[in-house]
Amino acid sequence: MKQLRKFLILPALLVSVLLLSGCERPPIEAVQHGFRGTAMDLIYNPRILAEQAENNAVPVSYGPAPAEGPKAGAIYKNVKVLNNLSVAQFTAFMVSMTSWVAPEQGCTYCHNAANFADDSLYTKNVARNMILMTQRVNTQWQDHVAQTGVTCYTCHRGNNIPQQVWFKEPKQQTGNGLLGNKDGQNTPVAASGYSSLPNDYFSSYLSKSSNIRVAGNTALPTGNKHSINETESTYALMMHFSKSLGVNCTYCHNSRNFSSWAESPPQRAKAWYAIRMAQDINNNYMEPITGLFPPHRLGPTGDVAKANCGTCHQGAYKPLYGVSMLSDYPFLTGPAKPALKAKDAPPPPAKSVAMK
Amino acid sequence: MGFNATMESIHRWAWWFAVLTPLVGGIGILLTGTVVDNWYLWAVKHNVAPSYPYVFGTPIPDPATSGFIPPAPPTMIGVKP
Repeated sequence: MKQLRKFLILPALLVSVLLLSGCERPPIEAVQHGFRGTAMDLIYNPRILAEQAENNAVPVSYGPAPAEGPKAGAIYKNVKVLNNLSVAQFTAFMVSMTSWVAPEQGCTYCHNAANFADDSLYTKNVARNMILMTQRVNTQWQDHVAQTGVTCYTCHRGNNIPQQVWFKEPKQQTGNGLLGNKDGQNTPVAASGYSSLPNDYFSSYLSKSSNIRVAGNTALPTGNKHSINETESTYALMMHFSKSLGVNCTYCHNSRNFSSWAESPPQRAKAWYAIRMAQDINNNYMEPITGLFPPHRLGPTGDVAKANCGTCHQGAYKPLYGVSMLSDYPFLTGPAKPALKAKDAPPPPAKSVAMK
Repeated sequence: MGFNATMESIHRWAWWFAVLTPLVGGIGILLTGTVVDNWYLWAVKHNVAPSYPYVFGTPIPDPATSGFIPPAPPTMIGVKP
């Protein structure tokens, strides 16, 4: 018996270590987020919050540059987007942009050092379009970004390409059926939390606008037909929300009835607009500039890097914990004038009481 | 008071547990989507689930019913249409 015990103790230890390695190490802190006793809690782990805080440190503010003086468009050649800025604002913004997007490469990441007005580098045209995108987000997507707004730093954080972007997943090559068709799932990738959930759900929801609502809204069946695959895609998207914002389901949903708006915390409306905003960014700003990028910047199927929740949020419930960097760069809230069509739809009136 | 389990009583219990689990689970699977679509709403209908006060101020309406129109596509710079 003693021999047997000795023999079994090592495998038993190994199995328990393996089983527990998938778990999150305590401590766990629960914060009430709903009516008492209904288990509407937000779960936080101080270790993970510390990591998150490191990723969401705000850069030092140098204050706004004076808006008086000659305009950049009159002094510099070939200024297409920021021509209404004063020279001081323009140069200060160029320096900030360099530190946000290309701190290692410096000015020459976008500019020809011999002639700054030259457009030969692809990064310059990309940057122009990205400034327009930033202005669009700040002016027309206030339902999501409110007055906090975004700057280049919100996504880039000192990287040429924001750290969290997505590409379309290549379609699985199927042979004569012996290997089976995984139908875009059962292949653990980071986007689906290394689970068996569908792994190209970003294309469905943050580029195309597939239906996310799968739960029936009547007690008895009244023709609500949705496949398990659709349900799993919705689930995968929700896992992405949760992971990107460092929150659990109850941040946006009442877990007794996920689909009910009347019972949901107001944060859910912010996320509703966020999905539409991501579609706008990906379809109207990223897809059209695919041709500007060299092949090594494109994904496995030749598509451009696209945004999801993690691109801005980077693990925090609000990017940079809701600190607005716009006061130093007021022109980023300016109308995206030179490039928008005149018949552009006016910004929708604020409708939600969600967190301002 | 005491848990007078024997080798036999444990296995009698385990036998019924093993039989009833798939049986009851199977009934649940068969009912879902055919007789009941949303178990929560079913429980509300039959006064099983209580209602709790809404603690976040005024409930927000479904934004999909607000007539929201996304902004029109812009014109890009340096991109041939």
